[in-house]
Amino acid sequence: MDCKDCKELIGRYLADALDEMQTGELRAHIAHCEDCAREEAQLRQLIFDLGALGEDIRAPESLMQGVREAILHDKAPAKAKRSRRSWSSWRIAGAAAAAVAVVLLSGTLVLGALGSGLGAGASQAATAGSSDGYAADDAYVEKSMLAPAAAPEPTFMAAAEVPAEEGESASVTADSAMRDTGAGSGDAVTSSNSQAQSTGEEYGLKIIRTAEVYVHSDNFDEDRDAITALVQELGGYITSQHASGTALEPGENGYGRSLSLTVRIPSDSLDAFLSQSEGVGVVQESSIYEEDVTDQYFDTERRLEGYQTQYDRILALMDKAETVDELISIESELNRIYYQIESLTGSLQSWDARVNYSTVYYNLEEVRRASPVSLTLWERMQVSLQNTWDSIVLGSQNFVVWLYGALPALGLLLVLAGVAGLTVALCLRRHRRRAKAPKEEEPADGDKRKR
Amino acid sequence: METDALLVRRAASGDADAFEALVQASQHRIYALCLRMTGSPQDAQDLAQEALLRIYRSLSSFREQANFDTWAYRIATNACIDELRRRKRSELLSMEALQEAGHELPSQAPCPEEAAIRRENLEELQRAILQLPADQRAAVVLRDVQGLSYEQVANALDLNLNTVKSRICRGRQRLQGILSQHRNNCAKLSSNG
Repeated sequence: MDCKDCKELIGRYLADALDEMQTGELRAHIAHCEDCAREEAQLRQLIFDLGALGEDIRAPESLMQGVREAILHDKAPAKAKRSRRSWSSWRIAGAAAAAVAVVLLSGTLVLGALGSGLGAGASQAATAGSSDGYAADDAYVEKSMLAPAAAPEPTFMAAAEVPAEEGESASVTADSAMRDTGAGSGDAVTSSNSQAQSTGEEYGLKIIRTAEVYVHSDNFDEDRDAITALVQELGGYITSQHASGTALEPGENGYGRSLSLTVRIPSDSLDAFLSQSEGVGVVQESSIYEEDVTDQYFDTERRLEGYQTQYDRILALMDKAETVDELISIESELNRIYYQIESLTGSLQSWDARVNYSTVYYNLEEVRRASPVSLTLWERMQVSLQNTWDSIVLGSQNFVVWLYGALPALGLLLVLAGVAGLTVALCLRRHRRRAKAPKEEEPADGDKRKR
Repeated sequence: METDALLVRRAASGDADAFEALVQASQHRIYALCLRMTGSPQDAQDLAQEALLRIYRSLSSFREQANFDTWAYRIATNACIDELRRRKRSELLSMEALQEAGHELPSQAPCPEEAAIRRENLEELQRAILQLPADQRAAVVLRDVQGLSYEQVANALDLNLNTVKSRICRGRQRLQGILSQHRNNCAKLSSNG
């Protein structure tokens, strides 16, 4: 490996896009190449700095004010108007895109007609193109594979039920509902503490754990079922899944299907999940992130208490209100506070849910032969030999397929070659005849020139 | 989430309070995204406002079993990308004009002193981000600045995982290139002067 390749590979390595062979080679090169080690360090520094750019940004208060005004007056802000003005340029762009698509499509069709082998490539390109559009209104659908109604978040559900039933009724019921909600969220906190096993929770810390796992599988269907069963066994559930790609054809190398799962696992079972999932496929990368939300959590809890006190005080004012105007303004103030309370309670519940249930992003990718990340020299030689053999087998199969598909064209070529051969042969014969003839006709030629 | 579902229903019927409560937490993340994508607080505010309005207007298409924040964030990301594409032409024109006029874009930024403070480096980094094409910019900002997982970035951009990884990879390398070019220019300037 030279340093130029290495630079490219470092980038892909840090984007989790290298296979195990390349990773092994890269690490081996970096171990004794100072330049490339520096390259890696610089890229890591860049990623670190980018992270710092995201810290401590709060939206200005005027943002929500602007949104509120736009909603209340139901008028689009300046930016939205601008988009309407540039509609004509969009139309032109659309027409251009359509034209390009037509050219591409007809090109593909022509190519497809020329060689049946190209068909597969064209259909792949079509799939890739269709996934590229950005549809704003196309909601991100989270499919619950395991019955969502039985989603094991009992504390959170119990607390959330009350405001859902309550709706927009009089403020007295709102008050009692709110107290219930308060009691509910209190319960949630207690039970989350009793449920939690991790050391952080023992000290009352609120820690959200998130894991990311990348797995190669050479037995995709079985591994997919195994991981689904493991999730169920540990009391977890799958909140979303995204499948893409097509199954590997026999003898085909590279990547086949891929499955990305978002899994919620009770946090005390996260370690069990990660260790037991090592038996499924070959884990390429596994990482855990911890986010400490203790400060925000208790800060929110204090703000919630503040709002609740305020709510009670204003509610008491209602008895003293004498005019309808006073009643209306008190009620609207109560409404405002109620939404704040609801929002803060929601945040607390969401934190509880995320603390109690860790999220795992589980990615399963189908490969021809899954091999562990750290290979011995012998294993690498074997893998390499096997890959070469596979390519030879695949190559010859492809050749036979191509040959079969190209038979009509080859037949045509054969006919053309025959015709050409005949023509050449005829020409040659005529030349030879002429070559013999001139000796007899020479005197006649000589006469002509003299004249 | 039950509370979200309730708030969504109220907000969808035109209740601004409910909408405010709904986006209470995510507005900061959305604003941060817009800020890093555009590099200017004023533009970020305009863009975030448009994104929030787009979320508001799309409420009817929100499916209750989905996570509201994820859904809202995805719409905001799309709004950012649309806006950048919309601007792309004029932006590119102005950049080309500057370059033709003999301006090396990166060197317009002030060169940091030897003991450059971190903040200057970050500003320089933000300027470099603005030179990335919209697609790469979105992927890098979502992953490295906003700290989403590759999977989440793929969801937000509606792309497959491998495409996202390669965009992030190319984006980072381009950033690295822009920054090192800028530092070389600075080194030349300081050795000449």
